[in-house]
Amino acid sequence: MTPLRDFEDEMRGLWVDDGTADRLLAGLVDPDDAPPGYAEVARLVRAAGAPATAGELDRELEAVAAAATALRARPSGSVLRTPRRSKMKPKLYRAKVAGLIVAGTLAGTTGLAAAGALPDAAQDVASDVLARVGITVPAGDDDPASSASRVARIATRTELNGVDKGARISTAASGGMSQAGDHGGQGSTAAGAAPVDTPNDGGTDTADEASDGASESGTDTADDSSDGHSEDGSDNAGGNG
Amino acid sequence: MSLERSFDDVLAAAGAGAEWALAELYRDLHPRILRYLRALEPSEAEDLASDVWLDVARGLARFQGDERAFRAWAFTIARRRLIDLRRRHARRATFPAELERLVEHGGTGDVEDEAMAALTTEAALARIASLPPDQAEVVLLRVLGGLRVGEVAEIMGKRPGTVRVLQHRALRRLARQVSRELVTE
Repeated sequence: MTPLRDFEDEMRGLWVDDGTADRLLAGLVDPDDAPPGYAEVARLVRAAGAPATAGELDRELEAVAAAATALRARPSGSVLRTPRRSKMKPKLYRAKVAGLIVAGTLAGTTGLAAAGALPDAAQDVASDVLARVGITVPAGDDDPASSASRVARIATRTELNGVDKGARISTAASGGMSQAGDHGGQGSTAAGAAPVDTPNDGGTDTADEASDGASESGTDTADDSSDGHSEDGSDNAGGNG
Repeated sequence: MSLERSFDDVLAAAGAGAEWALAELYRDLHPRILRYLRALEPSEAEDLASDVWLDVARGLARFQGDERAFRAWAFTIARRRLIDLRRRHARRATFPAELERLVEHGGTGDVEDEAMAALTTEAALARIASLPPDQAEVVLLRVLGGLRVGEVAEIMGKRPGTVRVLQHRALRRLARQVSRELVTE
């Protein structure tokens, strides 16, 4: 369509305004009342929008049944959607997957570390790292097999014996938790002087030396004054020691 | 072609699966959609119209709007179905056989009576389908859907002013065609 054709149409009286065009297309213009040249167009529009024919509705029963079935198959309020892939952007999706893999690996490693099931070097690293976040797991050489071999080595060594060997074994077996070695050492000193003299005897000698025998005189005096009861008490004390 | 009961009542009942309401909607909607598709893609019109009806049925429960909005929605579905089909076939709409018969049909006797008798629905659709595609679609949507310029513009993805221009050109072209036939006869 060109401006020249539009001009020719206008000259032939084929130009209609918007309102007339709308009425024509809505089928509201009677062919007898149509603008010049548009009577057939008005007829055509009415024919195109004529009531439905029987042939156009011959599948009504099937169509209604199919529609009812389709409605029953879909719960009310649900939205029609064909299966689609995730709308998540590829980069974000990959980052989330990577995050999940890292988290899974960490969880698995922590579990293995807690069980002491990692190789020594890895177990040491895990123990060190997890200790910083407040999780205690055994170090690489804390596993039972390692402790057992260390105990065996100490037990077969000849340079240690007695209390010292026992203390070392106790320490190794407990992973350093036992203080038996230290206590055993202190205990051995006391045990070396056993049987322990009664404090009364030691004290008497000390008192005698300190007093140049004056104390002994005092003891005698006490014995005399008590008719030997004081000496008996000393004997009893010595027996108890 | 209009619903006998209130459109809202029919729509609500149809959405709930009432067959009487579905039948009423079908009787009103299907012939319009079928004619639209028959004019633009005659060989596939029946199948396409059936698909459109099922699409409409599945979407009934979530549709909101008045009767014309409902028609606009249904024609939008029909147009998308048509576009999908054409993309699949990668070919242009076939020239309707009915139009060929109409063009070849010579007039006899009184011209006015002949024209009125010959102008069946199919012949009218064939004549509209002979327009350039955009003009034909504007006329079909306005006549069969009973849609306004703005609604047609939205369905076709054009500006309302463009639709107005297209409909004026379509009407003048139809008027010239008829006048030429009358002259030759």
